[in-house]
Amino acid sequence: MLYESSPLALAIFATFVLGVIGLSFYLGRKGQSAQAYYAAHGEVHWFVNGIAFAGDYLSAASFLGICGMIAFHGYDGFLYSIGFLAGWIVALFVIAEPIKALGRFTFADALDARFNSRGIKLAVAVSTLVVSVFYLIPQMVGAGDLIVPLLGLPHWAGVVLVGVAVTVIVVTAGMVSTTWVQFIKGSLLVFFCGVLAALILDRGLTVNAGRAGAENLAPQVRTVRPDGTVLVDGVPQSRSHDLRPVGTILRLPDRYAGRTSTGPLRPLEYLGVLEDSTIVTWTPSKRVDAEGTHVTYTPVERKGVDLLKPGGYFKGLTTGNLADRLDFASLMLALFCGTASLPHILIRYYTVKDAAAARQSTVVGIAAIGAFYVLTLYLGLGAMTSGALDPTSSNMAAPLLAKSFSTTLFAIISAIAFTTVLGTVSGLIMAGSGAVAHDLVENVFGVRMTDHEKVRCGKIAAVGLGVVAMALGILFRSFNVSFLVGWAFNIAASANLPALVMLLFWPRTTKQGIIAAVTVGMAASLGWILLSADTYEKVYGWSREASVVPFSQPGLVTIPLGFFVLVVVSLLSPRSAARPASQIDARG
Amino acid sequence: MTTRFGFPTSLPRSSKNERSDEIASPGMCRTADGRYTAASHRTGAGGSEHMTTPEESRGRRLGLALFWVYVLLYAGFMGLVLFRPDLLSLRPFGGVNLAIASGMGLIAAAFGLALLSLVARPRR
Repeated sequence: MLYESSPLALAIFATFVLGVIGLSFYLGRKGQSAQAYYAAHGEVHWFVNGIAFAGDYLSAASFLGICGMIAFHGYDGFLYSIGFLAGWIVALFVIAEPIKALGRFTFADALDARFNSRGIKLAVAVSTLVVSVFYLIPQMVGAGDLIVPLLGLPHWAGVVLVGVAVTVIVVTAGMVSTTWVQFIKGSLLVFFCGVLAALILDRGLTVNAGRAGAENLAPQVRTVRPDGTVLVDGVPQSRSHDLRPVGTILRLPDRYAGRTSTGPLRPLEYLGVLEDSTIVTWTPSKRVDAEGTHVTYTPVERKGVDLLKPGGYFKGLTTGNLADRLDFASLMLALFCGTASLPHILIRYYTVKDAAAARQSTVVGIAAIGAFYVLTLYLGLGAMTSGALDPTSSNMAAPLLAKSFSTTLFAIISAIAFTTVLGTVSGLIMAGSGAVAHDLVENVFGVRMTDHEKVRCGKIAAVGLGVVAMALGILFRSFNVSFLVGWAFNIAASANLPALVMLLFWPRTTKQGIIAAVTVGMAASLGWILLSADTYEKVYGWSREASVVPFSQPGLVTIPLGFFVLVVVSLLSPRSAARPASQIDARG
Repeated sequence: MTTRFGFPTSLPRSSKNERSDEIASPGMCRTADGRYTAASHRTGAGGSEHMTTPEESRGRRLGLALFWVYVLLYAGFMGLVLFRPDLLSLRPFGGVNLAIASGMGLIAAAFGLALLSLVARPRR
């Protein structure tokens, strides 16, 4: 669909973005030491850190991707919410305090605490970069998706805008500014999603919402010609001739007979009424011929009860296909194990003063993140029935839902979503910057640096990562952001979790075991993804059937593989001469 | 005191807030000189010994117990989704079906267990 920007939206958006950049410059004057740049002096209050956890974690995938997936496929999007939150239990009960105790600036610090091994530092630094890059892609894609309707600019402009803004944020004050940007973003995101959910409940459910009459249920065809021109139903696309917004209720339950609207509903009542309603969703089907690529969007009448149970997106749950079920199980395992393995989340434990604060901030993070994920269900279902969905973009469901209330709310939600991207990308670039400057340049390559040089090296790395992020965001624009984040979780869980858990719980763990587990876990999960049917179809444009792996999500195989490799290699290698504890504090 | 790279040497202890018992986590041991290290030092490797207080041990056990409680809940839910998704369409509580109720229940359980771990463990 084509979008028209509004001056109000532009003004609110500019206020948000310039506000956080201004804050970064202000904070940047307060300290430029390595301890400030990489760990915000280790003095962030636990409550601020907890909300910053939410700001760091609630990425474009959570906000745009999950809402879009629920809006288009129903309950299955909520399964992502459940999995994303469950991972925090691993972080809280298993990882939080040891990570705080063992590390300084980066995840590699913690894994290498016992061994002082250059091999561990190298493997973990590479793993951090790979995970961060895979996590960066969906954030940048989401940024591009947002900028299209908000400012009327092309997708790539949004990607470049967020890339530049984030690089400025990170380069000015590192973890200090990143923390505050994430705190502000996390607070605003949860608050305004709560406001949006309250408005959804107050509006209730309406037949043919947003329309004067019944929804036009004629199929819509979007054609992209080889020369790039776009046709809608055979006519060149323009603002006056565009795809129709979709997503409406066709019939309310019998108890609302003769009425077209329920009026305000209580939270659980809303779900119950929706379950008894009939909803129109739109299903795309693709055809390619000499005239171009045609995508036909066809309306499908569906019972609410079918949309609010598993199987709308993960088809194997209802068809019983074994490979599809394994794919789903693999994804949910990766979400559970992946959170506590994400480098940009782990480095946030270094910004608080002690282990108790790490624990408290995790609980605050769980509260904020859990509240948000409950709200995603209402936002997604609200979008599904708002009559405002763009059939071509699931990622735009939440902002367009806001637009169905008012342009001002649309501008605010879009600006917050953009700030969401800024907060998460800042954390990712910080993690990558630390991996390059602290782990690779200093600890692996042995370059001696002064405090000032260490900060400068981190900033140069941040600029480089920003450029890479922009390029990948443009390249992967057609992907659902939740789907892409699933890959990052798989790689993080496969490469990092086995080493971290075994280091903490198995005394026989050796440095060779850790290096092997990180390397094999990362290579296996990455290789599996590159050979998967999803990648064949969506990245290479090849047939899914040509794929050589049985299902797309690797975690079910590669996470146990990481543990297995660590155990076998550790048993085959001599017991590591762990550094005396008295030396652990004296390492770089 | 700082390292050769200019970092403070006091981690995991805060230079501003020295605490004698800040680590009470699975896999963590305190060395004889009061520092903290990972599990291998539990047995004395590296010249250290395990010196946790009863409160720390209790907190550690509680954390792991709560972790396994949640693992069981999560695994049970995923088992239902994978093998008996039809059961999730049932509406035993009237308004919402089991899919919604159990999903929200898992989110609430995560927060409840997190809160429990916070109030049940010694602050210091």
